[in-house]
Amino acid sequence: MNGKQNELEDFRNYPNKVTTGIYGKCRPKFIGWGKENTRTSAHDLDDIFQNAVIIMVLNIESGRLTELAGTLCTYLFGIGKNLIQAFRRKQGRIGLPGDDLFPITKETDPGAEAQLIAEQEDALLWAKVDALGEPCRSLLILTYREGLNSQEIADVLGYASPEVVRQLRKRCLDKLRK
Amino acid sequence: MENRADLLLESYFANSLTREEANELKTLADADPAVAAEIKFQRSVAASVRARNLSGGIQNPTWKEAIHPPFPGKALKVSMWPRLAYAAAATLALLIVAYVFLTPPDIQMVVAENTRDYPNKMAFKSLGEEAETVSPEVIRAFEQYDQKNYRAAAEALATIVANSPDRMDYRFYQGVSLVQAGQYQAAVEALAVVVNTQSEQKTAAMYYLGLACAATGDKECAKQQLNAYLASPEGVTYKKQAQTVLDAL
Repeated sequence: MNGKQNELEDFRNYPNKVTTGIYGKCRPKFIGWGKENTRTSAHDLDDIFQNAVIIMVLNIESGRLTELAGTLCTYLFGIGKNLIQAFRRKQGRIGLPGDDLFPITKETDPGAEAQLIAEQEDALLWAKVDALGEPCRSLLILTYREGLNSQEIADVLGYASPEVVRQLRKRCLDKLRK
Repeated sequence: MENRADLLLESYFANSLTREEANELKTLADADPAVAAEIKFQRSVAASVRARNLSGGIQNPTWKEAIHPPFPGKALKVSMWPRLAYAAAATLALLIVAYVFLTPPDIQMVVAENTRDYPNKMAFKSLGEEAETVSPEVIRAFEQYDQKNYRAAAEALATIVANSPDRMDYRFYQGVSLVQAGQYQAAVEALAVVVNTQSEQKTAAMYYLGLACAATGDKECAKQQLNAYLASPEGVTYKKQAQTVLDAL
């Protein structure tokens, strides 16, 4: 087993030790790189790096990450770059054509009661999403909260192609509809 | 639903829809009720995941615990130890001087020293959220916020919150402005509402509420909020400051 695979094995056996190394060495590198090369604030890069770490752990847990082509830090950079890309699209969303054509605004001020009902509906739907478990949970969060496209999701979650992601998302949504 | 509509909808949620594609999707939705229904359904899914985080999907409790980031600088390189020793010696000397010449700082001082800015993220529309047209009053309030005129921002946001009591994002920025302006009691009232919701700002609100509670002398509230912030997987950015205030309580 080479050193790179040892990093994965180390994580399984000594997760705290490995994540301490990741936060101590890799996070500053990532934030430094992000500030230098993308116009993203350290505050946002911090959040993005944390999401990259979570995705890495989800991938190890699901068995999608069993071999490393480089180091864990390189792997996290790969995830982080995709997340930054989606984040920057989200930032630029205002002014993008299309929003005026799809106003998602509440027609009028809904008032406290309508707001409460909407929150309850969100909570009920979320309970169904949560009950689907992985990978639906992550896939839907990455799609609808983080704004990743299918190619980016395939890259960060380790699926073979965007088409696989689309099929998987369709199945998750179909389950939710039931 | 046709495959083309699926692809356009994916672009919509990935924030990469062009104007032509938006027109195309609108035409498809107008012509086909199934497409319109699918847009509505996926928006409701987007709304439901808006305040959720990825870490909840991790099953292994040890791994979940391991991804709580330590404070910046906690993991030190071996080569840094000599520098750390010098820094420790200097700190010790400083502490002795402080002990001899200074009275211990009061908690409001600790809070002030550990209050950090929160960037204005109102311009960043999350998926599934409203692409709303905001009023000039809102624009002006956030201009004050961006210029760090927190007292003016807090005053302007108070009116806006009164008119839109369900908007937790406005209330959050009002609370942050009040903390920054040193109006801690009013900040507690604003932020206490936000931490009890599932809004996107909930975790950050815990940090600011913890600061405001500490400054008003409500130690129990401060400990509860700051500990909740530190325990949250999203409680990353202000971890060091939250711990410093907790230690001072």
